[in-house]
Amino acid sequence: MKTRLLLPALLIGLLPSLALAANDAAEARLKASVDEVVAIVKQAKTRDALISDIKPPLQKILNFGVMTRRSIGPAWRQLTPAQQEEATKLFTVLILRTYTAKFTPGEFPLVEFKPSNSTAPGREEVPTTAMYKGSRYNATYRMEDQNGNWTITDVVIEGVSLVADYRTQFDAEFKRGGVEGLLSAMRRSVADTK
Amino acid sequence: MGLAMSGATAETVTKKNSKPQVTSSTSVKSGKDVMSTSGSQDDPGDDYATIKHIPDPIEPVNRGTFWFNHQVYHYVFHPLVKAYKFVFPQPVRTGISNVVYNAQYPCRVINDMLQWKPKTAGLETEKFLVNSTAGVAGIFRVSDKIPSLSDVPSTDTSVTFAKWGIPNGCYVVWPILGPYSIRDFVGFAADIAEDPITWVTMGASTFGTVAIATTTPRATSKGSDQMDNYDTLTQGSVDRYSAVRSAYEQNHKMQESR
Repeated sequence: MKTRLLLPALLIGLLPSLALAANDAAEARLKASVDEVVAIVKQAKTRDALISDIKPPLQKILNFGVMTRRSIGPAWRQLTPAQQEEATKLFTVLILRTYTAKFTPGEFPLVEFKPSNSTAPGREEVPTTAMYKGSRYNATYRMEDQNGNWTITDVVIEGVSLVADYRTQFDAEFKRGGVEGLLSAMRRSVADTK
Repeated sequence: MGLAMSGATAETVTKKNSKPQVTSSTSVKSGKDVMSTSGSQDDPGDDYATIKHIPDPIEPVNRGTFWFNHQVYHYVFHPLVKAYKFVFPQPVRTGISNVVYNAQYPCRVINDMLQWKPKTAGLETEKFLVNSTAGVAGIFRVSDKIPSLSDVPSTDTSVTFAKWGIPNGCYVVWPILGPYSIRDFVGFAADIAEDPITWVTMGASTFGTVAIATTTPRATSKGSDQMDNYDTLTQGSVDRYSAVRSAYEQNHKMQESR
């Protein structure tokens, strides 16, 4: 009885674990990064220290190149390499600033990870729920494998994709003022620090 | 709040897309559901064709109202929310917000039934009972600690209308209230009618203070939460108006799909 069940059980047990390998890598990478950020927020004394400490791990896991390209969308190909570089830099500053401003020293989110699902080879979605400042948020991290390194290419909070939201804005600016209009709108947002 | 350039084609695509997807809470689905633009051919990961699934024919008017609202938020609501946050610390605010949410149980359960989701209605009832008793009249959301009750999808009349196939109508930015499609605005009015806080207020309207005492927590607590969301969306935005519209569409698409 036992042995008869053993083989199928082994086979069934083995199949998902093979399929899970990629998921695990993406999830593990995300978890490690979240833990790192939470640890920084926990021990930070001042807001300024928090912001400067939190940037390097965020820069490592967030794929700003891909995020900028997809946020700009089809217009991206009309930008010269120099303009693409500038746009990426501006977008990085904007995202990092908006993200880091959300954190208060000592107040950290409790993040719960749900099983991730693969949307295509090398692409994973990791759903999570975060409890932060008394509210509960559903946040899904879209991750991609870039030569064995998993990075975040989009964050979807309560159904709102960061990249999709910027795409709508960049589209409006591009339609209104072309490449220059788009870039100057980005420069304006970066300069607006209040 | 949920990206191709042509409005007309995009509309048809979204309709096909309205089936609930079990696996993800994302409103932006993988490539096959969304029309791809020329931008995505060399990037399979780019499936963000710009879909305007709620048409915005009165955009210039909306932008005007949006600008007006922004001034009101900035000069009136912001100071109010700041004062509210100063007087009531975070745990108290969470408590108030929880009580209001708990009291609005009938609205959610009525709509669960109208959408024929008896299982969700049951879970919602269980949640209401647990939070009303163990959670002391809803002050503490103890249901968050119970796995089966921690993630009951909240619903409202707008979602019911969407499930019934009533089209959105156009996107309208209302003075003070902010963005609602025509359909969702009617849904919003129905939600207020289904809300026990309104019933109490109507019954108590003869006693002005009672009415104020029942409506103020609802308005302030909701206003404070919405102001936080508005800030998150618009700080760091390039075009505030588009940022809010996209977020509104994407969020609604997600609520309709679950």
